[in-house]
Amino acid sequence: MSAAVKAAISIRNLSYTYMAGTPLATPALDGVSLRVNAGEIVALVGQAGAGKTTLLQVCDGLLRPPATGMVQVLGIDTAEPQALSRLRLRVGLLFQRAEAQLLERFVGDDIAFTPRQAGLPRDEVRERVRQAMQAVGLDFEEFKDRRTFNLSGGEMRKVALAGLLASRPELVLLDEPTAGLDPESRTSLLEVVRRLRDQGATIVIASSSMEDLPGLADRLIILNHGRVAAEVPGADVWRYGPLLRAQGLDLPELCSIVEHLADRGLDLQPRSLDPDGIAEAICRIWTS
Amino acid sequence: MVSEVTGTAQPDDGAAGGLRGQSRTQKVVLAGVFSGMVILLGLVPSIGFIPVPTPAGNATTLHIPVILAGMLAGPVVGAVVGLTFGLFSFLRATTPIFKDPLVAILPRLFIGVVAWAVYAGALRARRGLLVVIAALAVFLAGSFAWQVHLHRPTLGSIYLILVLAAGAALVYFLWAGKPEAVAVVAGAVLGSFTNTALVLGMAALLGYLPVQGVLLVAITHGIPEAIVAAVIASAVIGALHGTTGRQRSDL
Amino acid sequence: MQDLDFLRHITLGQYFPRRSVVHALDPRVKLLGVALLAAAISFNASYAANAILLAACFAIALLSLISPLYILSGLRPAIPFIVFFALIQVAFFTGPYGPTLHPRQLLHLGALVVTDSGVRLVLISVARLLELWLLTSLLTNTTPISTLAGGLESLLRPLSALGFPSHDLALVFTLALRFLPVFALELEDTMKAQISRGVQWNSGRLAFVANSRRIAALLVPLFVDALRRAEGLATAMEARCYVSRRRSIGGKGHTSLLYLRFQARDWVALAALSAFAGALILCRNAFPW
Repeated sequence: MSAAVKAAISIRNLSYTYMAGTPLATPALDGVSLRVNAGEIVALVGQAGAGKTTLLQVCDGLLRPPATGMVQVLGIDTAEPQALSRLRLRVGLLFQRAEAQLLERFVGDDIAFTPRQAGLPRDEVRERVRQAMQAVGLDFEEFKDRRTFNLSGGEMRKVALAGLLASRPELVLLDEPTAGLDPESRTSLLEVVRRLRDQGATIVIASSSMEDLPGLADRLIILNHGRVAAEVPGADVWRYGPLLRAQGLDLPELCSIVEHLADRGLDLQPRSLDPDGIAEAICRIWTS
Repeated sequence: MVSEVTGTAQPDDGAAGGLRGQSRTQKVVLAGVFSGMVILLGLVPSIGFIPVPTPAGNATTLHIPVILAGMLAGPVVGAVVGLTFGLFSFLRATTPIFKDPLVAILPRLFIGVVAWAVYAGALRARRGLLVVIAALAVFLAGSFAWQVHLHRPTLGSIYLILVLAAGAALVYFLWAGKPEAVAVVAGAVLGSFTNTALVLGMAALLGYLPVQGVLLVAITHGIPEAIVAAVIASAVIGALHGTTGRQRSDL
Repeated sequence: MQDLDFLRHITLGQYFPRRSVVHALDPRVKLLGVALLAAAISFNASYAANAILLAACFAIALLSLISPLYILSGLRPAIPFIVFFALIQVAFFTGPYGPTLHPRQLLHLGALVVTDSGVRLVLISVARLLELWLLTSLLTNTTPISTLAGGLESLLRPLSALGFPSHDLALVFTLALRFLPVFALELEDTMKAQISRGVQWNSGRLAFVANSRRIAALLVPLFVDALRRAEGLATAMEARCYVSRRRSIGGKGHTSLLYLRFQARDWVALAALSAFAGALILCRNAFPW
C-alpha cells in the first residue's frame, strides 16, 4: 500500500463506550485501527453487536470518541466540531432503519434535501432527484409527491438511498443495506454500489451476512466484540473459510463451492467470485 | 373555495387511522404512549427546552404531548396525560414553587381538556363565529394593553402594537386558513396558555410570586411557549392527517 | 447537540441497591409513608415542626444507608434559581404566614417591604423543598420503579370497586415507562440521521421558531411511530382478552407477577409513620415559632 494513495478513512486505536460513566456503560469498540483508501469498497463484517454501526457512526462524526483514539475522515479530524458540518456534506450514511432518515413529508422533497442544503439551483436539484430516483428504480412522476410516512419498508429504503445519491458524496457508508430486501431490490442496490464506485466514491458496507460481498468488496474487515479480528482480501476470501467460521461467520455458498473444490485438489482460480466468474473458471478447466 | 365546516376533518392517510370512537383499551394505550412522550421530553434536554428570548430563557415542550393527546384522543386521555406531566414536574422540581402539588399537578389536568374543547369546537364552528371570538379576544387584550399604556407609556405602546399586529394576523388566519389548521393552532395556543396561566395563577394565589410579576411573566413567557406549541402541534397533526400545508413536493 | 447517546438520560430516579431496613419495606408502606409525611409537611408552617421534619428525613436517609447530603447535592444546579425566587418572594410578600398573626416589618426600601412573615415563607419553602426532595429521591433510590408501580396499583385497587379505573391508570404509567427506552433510541436514531444529512441547529434565542421546526421534525416521526405502536398494542391486548370495563376481567381479579405481602416490620413502620405524621398534623398550631 503506497503512501501516495490517499486514505479516505484513517482510524488509530479507537475505543468507544456507550453511556460511559453510568452503571449501564456498554463498550462497543476497543482499540480499533484501520484504514480505508480512496476508491476502495470495504466491507465491515461481524455478528450483530460487533460494533459495525458504532464504527460507521463514528466515521460520520455522530459519536464523539473519548480521549483515546484518532479518527480522520477525508482528511478531517472528527474531534474538531467546527469541521463536522463540512464533512457531513461529503459523506453519505445510510442508516439501518430507513424511517429514521426521512425528514420531509413528501418523497421528492426528502431526496432533494441535501442538494437544497448545499444551495444548488432549483433546476439542478430537480435533475439530481430525477437521476437518483431513476438509479434506485423509483418512477419520478409517480413517487415524488407520495408521502414518506405512507411508504413500505423497501420503498423507504430506496428513498433513503436516493437521498444519499442525490448528495453525490465522496464517501458512502452503508449500514446493512441489503437486510430484508427481496432479491430484485438487492441486485439493483448492488448495481448502485458498483456504479458509485465507478464514479470514484469510496464505499464502506457494514453487514452481518457475507452474501454478495466477495464479488463486490476489495477487502473485508472482520469485527468481533468491538475489535478488528482480521482483514481478508475480497478476491481470495474463499481461502479463509476456517478463519471466518472461527469468528462466527461463514462463506457464502458460491465461495464454499470454490473452497470444497480446492480441498479436493481442484484449484479453480476464478477471476471473480460471482456466478459468472466461477462458471467461466469451471468451463476453462473443463475444456483444457 | 372552502365550504363551512360542519363536521370533523377526516384523516387523509392511514398513519393516524380513526382516532375517534376509540375503545377503552385504545384510550389506555394512547394515554400510555403520550405519557411516555412527556417523560421522554422531560429527560432529554435537547428536545425538552427551546431557548427563547424571554427572561426565563427556555420554553419547555413537555406540555405539547398533553395538548396533542387532548386533540387526538379526547379530554379524558388529555387529563390523564396532563396528570403524568404534573407528577413528573412535581417529582423533578428543584424550586419550592413547583414542589407544591397544587401548582405542579392540579393546573396541568386542564391542559388537555382545554386543547380538546377548543380544537373540537373550532372544527365545528362556523367561520364567522370564530372571527367574532377572535375579535373579542383582541379587544380584551387591547384594552389590557391600553390600561398598561396609561400607566407606563412605552411598555404599553409596545403591547398595543403587538396586540394589533397579532389581532390582524389572527383575523386573516381565521378567515383564510383551512379549518383544521385553524383548529390545531387555536387548540395548541389556548392549551399552552392554560398551562402558563393556571400554573402562574396558582403560584400567585398561594403567595409564591407577586401578582404583578405573574402577569408580566405570563405574557412574556407564555407567548413564545404558545408559538412553539402551535408550530410543533401543527407539524405533527399536519403530518398525521395530511390536511395542512402543501399537498405535494416542491420540485 | 453534543451528546447523542440518549439512553443514559432516561434512568428515572437512580436505584441504589443496599441491604437496609427501608429497602426491604413493602412499596406500599413507602408510598403511604411519603404521602403521610408530605401531608405533615404541607400543614406545618412553623420553624420547629420543619426542623423536626427535616431531621426525620435525614434519619430515613441514614436508615436507607444513603447519604442525605449526596441526595441534596442534586439540588446544587438549582441554587441560583432558588435564591432568585426567594429574593422576589421576600421582597413582595406582605400577608400573614404561619403562627405569627401580625407580620412585622423588618426592612423598608421604597416599594420593597420585608416582613418576618415573608422571611418565614421563604425559609419554610426551602425547608419543604429539601424535605420533599429527600423523600421523593429516597422513594426511587430504595425501590425499583416496577415495584413502585405494582405497589401503587395495589393501593389503588380498592378504589376500582367504586368505579375509579385504577388498573387502567396503573397500566398507563407502566406503558409510559416501558416505551421510554424505545422512544429514546428512536429519537437518537432520528437525530443522528438528520444531523448526518446536514440539518443545522441555530444557536440563539431569536431563532426559536426555526428551532421549533427542527424539533417538530424530530417529533413527527416519533409520534407517527408511537401512534402506530399504540394501535398495534391495543389490538394485541384486545385479542388477548384484556377487557377494561367496570367490574370486568381487566378491572379486578387479574393476576400479577408481583406478590406483595405485609410483614411485621411493614406494620411497625406504617404505625410509626402514621403516629409521627398524625402528631405533627394535629399539633401544628402548638409550635410557638
